[in-house]
Amino acid sequence: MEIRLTGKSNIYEQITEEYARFIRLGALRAGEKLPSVRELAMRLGVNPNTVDRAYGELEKRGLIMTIPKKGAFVRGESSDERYDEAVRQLSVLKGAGLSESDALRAVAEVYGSARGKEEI
Amino acid sequence: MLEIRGLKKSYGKKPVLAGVDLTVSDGAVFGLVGINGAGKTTLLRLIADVLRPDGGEILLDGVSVTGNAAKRRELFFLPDEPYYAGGTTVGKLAEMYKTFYAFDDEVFKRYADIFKLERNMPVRNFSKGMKRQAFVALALACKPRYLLLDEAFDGLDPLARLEFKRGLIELEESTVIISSHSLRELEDICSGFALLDGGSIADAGDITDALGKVHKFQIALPRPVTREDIPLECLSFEAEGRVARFIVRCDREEAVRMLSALSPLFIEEIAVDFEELFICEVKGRGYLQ
Repeated sequence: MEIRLTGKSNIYEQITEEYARFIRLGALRAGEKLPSVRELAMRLGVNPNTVDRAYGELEKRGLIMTIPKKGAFVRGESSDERYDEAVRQLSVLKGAGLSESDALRAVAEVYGSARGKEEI
Repeated sequence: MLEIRGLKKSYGKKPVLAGVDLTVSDGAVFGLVGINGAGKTTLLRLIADVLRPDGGEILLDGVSVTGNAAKRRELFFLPDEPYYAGGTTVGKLAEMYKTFYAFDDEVFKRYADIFKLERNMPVRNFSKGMKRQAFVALALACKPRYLLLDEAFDGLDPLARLEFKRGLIELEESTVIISSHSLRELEDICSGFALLDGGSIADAGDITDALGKVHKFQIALPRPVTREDIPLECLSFEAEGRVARFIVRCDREEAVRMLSALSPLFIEEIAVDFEELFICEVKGRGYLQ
């Protein structure tokens, strides 16, 4: 069973999820620099250790890499990660009762495939 | 480094601190929490050498603070209600602090501007929040090695709280100890915390670590849920028909495995914040209900 995290999470998780989302959605792209730990801590008014921990988590997930004295940079996202994300999302929907034919219809609609449209 | 060993203090026959042991490392921003009357202010007053302990010792970098005027200069204690002479102004207070601390005019000016402090108006005419902002600006400008803040965020508006937190982050060289009931602010700004209860430190550690050890779940079963249904020890539990919400202290995967065995309609994890953890801790220790 997929477990969804709901409600306001703690700051460390919020920072991690926010940047993970920025990277996933392309608001931050490969090679781009994240704010420095101190800079972000000052902006948010949170302890620098908290930001440091969030960056550590992002690094562990393979989303960023930190270069000593240079800062944190977004790593190139592979298409594998997008595929994995699609599988994750679909598994949740499958669990909620989405049938295979509905899933395929949704794929056809999103990708605008002619064949899919005819079948609808 | 601040080290407190076996610290005791009674008011008359009423013991307030019955043996406090605490270590705060250099550069930490440390939160002191506890219910009203737990002894937070007493502890800060003892560290600031405003009160004398009945027993035990307080060491700053290995040297006792009690009755030590030189060590006193390394400390800045901002009480809940700071004392000031009747007609004094913020400008005069700044002059006074300059004789005692390595006062940073640039920092003071910056915060005086942010808080729009009237430097020539008597402090007694300030509102509660304004007074607080004035003393926050002074405290930050003094850049003390140890900064002790009692009820730190009391009376400050959200914008002033944010500026204050930023100011604390900027004080890289200082060790800051904050007592507050604004647990949201403490969760933001503190790395470590200590829970004062029953005259001693009941729990202490890293806030993020402490939060990582508890998990809150919301689950729905095909039938009404009772506390007995949950195969885990709950720090808190509430149910409404088929849906239950509870906090457990155990490994997350282990909890999920145990809960999945109940064939729930769904399981959700809800984040726990410091305030909720505090309430659980305090309830678990027999207070409140």
